[in-house]
Amino acid sequence: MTAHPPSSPLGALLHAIGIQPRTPDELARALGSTPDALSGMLRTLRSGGYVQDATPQQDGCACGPCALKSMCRNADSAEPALHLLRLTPRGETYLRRLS
Amino acid sequence: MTAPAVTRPPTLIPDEAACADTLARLKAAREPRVVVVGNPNVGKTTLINALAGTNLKVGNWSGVTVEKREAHLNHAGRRVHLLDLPGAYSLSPHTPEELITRTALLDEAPDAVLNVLDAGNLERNLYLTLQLMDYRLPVAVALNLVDEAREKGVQVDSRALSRLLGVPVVETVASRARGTDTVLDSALGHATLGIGVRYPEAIERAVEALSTRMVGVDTLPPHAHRYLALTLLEGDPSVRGRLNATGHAALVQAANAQLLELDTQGLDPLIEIAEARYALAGDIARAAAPQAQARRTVTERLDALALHPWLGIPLFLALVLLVFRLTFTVAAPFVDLIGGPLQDTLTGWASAALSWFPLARDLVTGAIIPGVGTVLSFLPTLLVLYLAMSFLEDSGYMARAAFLMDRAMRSVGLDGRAFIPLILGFGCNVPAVYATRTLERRSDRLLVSMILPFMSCSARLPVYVVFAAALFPRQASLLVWAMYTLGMLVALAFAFVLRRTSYPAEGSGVLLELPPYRFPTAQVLWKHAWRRTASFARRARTTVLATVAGVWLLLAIPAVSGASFATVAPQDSLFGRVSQAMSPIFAPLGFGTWQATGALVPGFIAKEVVVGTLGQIYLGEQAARPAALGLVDGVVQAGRATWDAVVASVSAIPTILALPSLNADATGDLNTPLATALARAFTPASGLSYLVFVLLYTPCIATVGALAQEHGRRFAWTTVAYQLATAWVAAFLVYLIARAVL
Repeated sequence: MTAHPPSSPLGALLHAIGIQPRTPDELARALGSTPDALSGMLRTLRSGGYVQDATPQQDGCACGPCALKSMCRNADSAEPALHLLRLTPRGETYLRRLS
Repeated sequence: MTAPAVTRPPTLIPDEAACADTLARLKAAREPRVVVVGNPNVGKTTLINALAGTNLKVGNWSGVTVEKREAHLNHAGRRVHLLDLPGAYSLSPHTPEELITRTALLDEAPDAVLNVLDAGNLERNLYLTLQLMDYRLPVAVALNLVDEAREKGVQVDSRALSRLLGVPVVETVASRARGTDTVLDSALGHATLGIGVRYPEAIERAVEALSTRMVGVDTLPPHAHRYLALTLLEGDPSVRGRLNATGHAALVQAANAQLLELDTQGLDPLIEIAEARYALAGDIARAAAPQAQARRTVTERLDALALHPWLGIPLFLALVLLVFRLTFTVAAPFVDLIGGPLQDTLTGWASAALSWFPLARDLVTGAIIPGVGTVLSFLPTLLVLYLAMSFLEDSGYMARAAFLMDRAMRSVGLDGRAFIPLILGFGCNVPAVYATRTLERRSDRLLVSMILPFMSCSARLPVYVVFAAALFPRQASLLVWAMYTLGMLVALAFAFVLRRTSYPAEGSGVLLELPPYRFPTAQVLWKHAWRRTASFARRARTTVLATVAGVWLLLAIPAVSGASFATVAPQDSLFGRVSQAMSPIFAPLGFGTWQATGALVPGFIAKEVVVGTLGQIYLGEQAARPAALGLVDGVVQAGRATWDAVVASVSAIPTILALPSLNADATGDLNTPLATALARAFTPASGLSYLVFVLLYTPCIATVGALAQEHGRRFAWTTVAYQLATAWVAAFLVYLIARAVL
């Protein structure tokens, strides 16, 4: 992880994701951008395999093996309430290279 | 408005000869083909409707159901073929629409590109513009939605934008046909290749090498050489597949060689290329719209408060307290109803129906009705709680609460994703244990698994409610809130200690996408709340029913000589004697009676069983010989009690916002037989100690099983032991303090 944020837009975004949790609005303000522009960058990073979804999906690892699934109030939620992104090894490698 | 100069990164200066040739072709074309390209929702369709009018024909793109719009029209005495391409955020295709747009730019031989931009969202839109310029086709820009951008506080200097991009820019409001009359003039008469992006030197050399190999190849249109070379370096599989299939495998191999060369230089072309485009797009957007500080939306304004570093958590805690007050106030009369009159009615009916079968009558009236019935009496509490929590979830607030919690977790060194299992833990600890799989590092998984049983699952709520109502009727909701808060604080404290001793942090962040605030519909709220309440009821008829039947059996087996099955005094039963043997352990905590100790043991199976067993022990004896009740008398009795409960619930609503210290907490009216029995059996200090023990000791056997499955039996039993020790020590301290204070 770089000590100082990189000057390139995607590098700065990856760095910001890596250091502390934030919302897109917070991140956009911190990077001098807009949430919409940020979502475009995240789309690029996600498709390139630099970040990935970190939210457990329905019937994913949170529920799949659970014996109480049939009785569980959380099991049949159609959509996860939260959407999380985190760095992948490829994203971390790129950040290290920027340092 | 003067636009500052763009200094970074350098732009590509178009080759003048190539530029002249391309522009000459556009001017000479008999029916020039103009493709309209833009991001989704930028008003592209509205613009093309305004331009084409009745000439517009709508069909489908070959092989797909994506709509194809085109028109042949006369413009300034010249035939023009206008082709609307599907909305695309980029030309690196992620959707069928983007693939069609990219393919059309390669195959449809356009003479010019009309790029429609959303003026209020310039930075994101410019990424596609800069990709289009890699095609080396004449481009003109329609800067649309300028009116909406101004309303958002975004002022774009279109002349500066034109200068910075090197292409003509026309401001339009397509919905009002403003500026649309000059758009085609611009595309046909003034479109140019634009500035283009200059990529890092090593990539430019690779692009040059690959472009050179494409010169003279008929099937590779000259305007697309640069774009194709860049796409090959980005590793785009669809372009590679297409080139391989059309006899250009050597070109793909040459690209592979270039990639290897770039890799040896430590370059990742995919992200380097995107970096250069985003950097230039950002610079141009900031220069062309220097006051692009958009006005804050309602969601942003609410988030400024909800996510405030200092006010966010107090606001969250206040909202949770309000939820508990609402829950107690509205539900208390119905808890009274189920735990009192309805249970009496059922007991009376069962006594009458089973009068010839004394053993079955004892089981039903002395175990099932007081045990399961006591647990079920909390259904109204849970229903109201789940309605309130569903409102917070569906309105979008709970995602903010999770974010706040995440901040707190990060402050003690937890992984940024740890809050998912911890939040799940408020519902049920079992799926929460499995959710630790989302954490990459084993140390994080172990740490979170160790602390998440301290998060108060909903099965513990009935225990809090009945004790709070019995012993602290005027501060009941405050006490339940304090239990939840204490669970979180203990979890944070352990995380802090364990992180510094056993499971060191390795650091990892997340980005949390928060949904906008919205007002949930009553139908959705009911659906969610009912599903969760029904899940609790299912547990009552399975786990709780089986456990109370087991406890009844143990209470019926004599442990002293001379007594017979089912007639033995409870304290002389097997259950009573085993509980008595264990009770000295809890004597220092203030609840060393066999009844209190005995209820904790089945609590290992499921926490709501604690209440069921207490009901069985304290109420079973008195319910074993109830008066038989006729059907009609029972219906009348239940109907009258239900009406009283409705009236009491509605009339208590105005007291929700009153402070607990003003003695307005409606839980003071909770008068179930169990609450009355507990008020006699416990002091406030011992009751508080009992609640803290219930909060912190092992949640249930299913959680232990999940821990064993995920991390091994040794870890699971170590966790059980340390939670029991923590619960004992915390309850002891609370008892000492409470005895001194209360």
